Amino acid sequence: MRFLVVDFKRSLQERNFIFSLVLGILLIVVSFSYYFYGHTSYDSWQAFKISQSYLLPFLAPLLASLPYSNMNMLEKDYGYDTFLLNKANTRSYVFRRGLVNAVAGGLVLLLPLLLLGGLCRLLGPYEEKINLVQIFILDFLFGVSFASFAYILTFVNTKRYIPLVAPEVMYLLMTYAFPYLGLETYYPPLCFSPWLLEENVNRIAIKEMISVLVGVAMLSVLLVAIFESLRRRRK
Amino acid sequence: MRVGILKYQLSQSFNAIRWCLTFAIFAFVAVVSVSKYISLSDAVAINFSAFEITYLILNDTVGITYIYLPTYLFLICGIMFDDNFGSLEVLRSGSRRNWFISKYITFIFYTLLFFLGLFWMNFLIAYQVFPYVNKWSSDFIKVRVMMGQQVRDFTSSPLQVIGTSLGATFLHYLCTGTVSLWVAMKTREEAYGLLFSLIAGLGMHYLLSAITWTAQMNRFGYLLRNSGYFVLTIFFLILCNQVLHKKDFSIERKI
Repeated sequence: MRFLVVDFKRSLQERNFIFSLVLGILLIVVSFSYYFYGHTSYDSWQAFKISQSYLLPFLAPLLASLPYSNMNMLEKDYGYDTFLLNKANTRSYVFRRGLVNAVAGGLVLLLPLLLLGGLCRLLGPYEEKINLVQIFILDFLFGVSFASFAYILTFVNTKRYIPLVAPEVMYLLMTYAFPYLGLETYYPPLCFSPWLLEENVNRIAIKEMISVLVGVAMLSVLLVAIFESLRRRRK
Repeated sequence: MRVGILKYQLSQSFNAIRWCLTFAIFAFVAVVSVSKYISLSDAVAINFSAFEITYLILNDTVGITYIYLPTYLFLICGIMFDDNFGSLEVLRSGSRRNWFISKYITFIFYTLLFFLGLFWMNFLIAYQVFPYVNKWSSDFIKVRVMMGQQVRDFTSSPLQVIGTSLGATFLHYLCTGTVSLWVAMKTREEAYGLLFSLIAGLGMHYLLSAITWTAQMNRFGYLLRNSGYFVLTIFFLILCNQVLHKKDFSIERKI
């Protein structure tokens, strides 16, 4: 438990986390300005929808992967992991790090959206707050899944930048390809902004997609933790 | 010594998996893009030549934003510095300047390879269905004029106009890649290099498409774009040179 708390505090102080957060907030502010100066009458929910879906969906996976996903690679480079593994076994180290990374990835997307929610509230009250809460949960889980995918990549390659950039590149490729493959229902940005393709929005499909994403991510972290502990034991 | 260092750079930085993935992506996107024009041709009986279709595909903003630019940056990401930012390679090259020159030549070679692959893949697939003709097709002129282009833009041959636009496309990638190198050198993080260069590359593309002089779809407009990208590339090269001589490389990392 202590490891989780200490590691979590550390993740919030990382340069990459702060950078991702600042970039997320900047994108939100630019998007909000785009709505504010482009309209003469304002509605808080419309403002939130348009601002949230303008720029952030394009870079969301990169923002989620940047904060803490390759920290274990850095620790391995500098030999710091040996100190940490003296106090905890490999499986729990890998799993707990995966958990902290997932939460950090989710938070880095959630916090700018909370700010946006507050900004849009200045324009008027929300008719249905439940929609807002659902979007916050959806986007937090989006961050959790992509941060976890980035974390898993740290165990299958040796270059520190690959886990940070590969999820974003694959996401953009799928965003381009899925409409041409007749998979509009599974259009990746819908897991972040469900109103991007209004005519193809299917709440059940989105819930399925995000459940699969998060489920696969967490299961992969668990499997990686087991395999890594077996690998180290063999050494 | 420089030839030896160049050979070493090329052999060390070539990543077969990324190149195979890149060409697989090119093939997929080329097939999808050309099939869009086949559908258009079937639906409204508009026929363009293979060269014109390749030109439209390579300048398609959605393709550049989601596929070509991110794939290019992913391909060259880390090729130059590969986590060690110099160290032993700088010592082997004899000077920082030699090291950077050999890196940059390697980078230009990969950019050229990427661009040629991109062009040839799209052209070859378009050529399977549409003919190659060295004059503008009447349908192309009609459609472009309807979209606001001037008729006088078509006084030069397609080879001249599209050839110049291909030069602009190549220089766009080169300039964006140079931005990536500069940011990676400055911040020591390849991921930041990709992020900032992606934003900068898209920004340059949209900006030059918005400025009246460079937005012209004629030879003059593309020549202006080429000049703009060339100047920006030189500017970022100067910035790289400044970082090169001021930054301390970590000798103990990843030797």
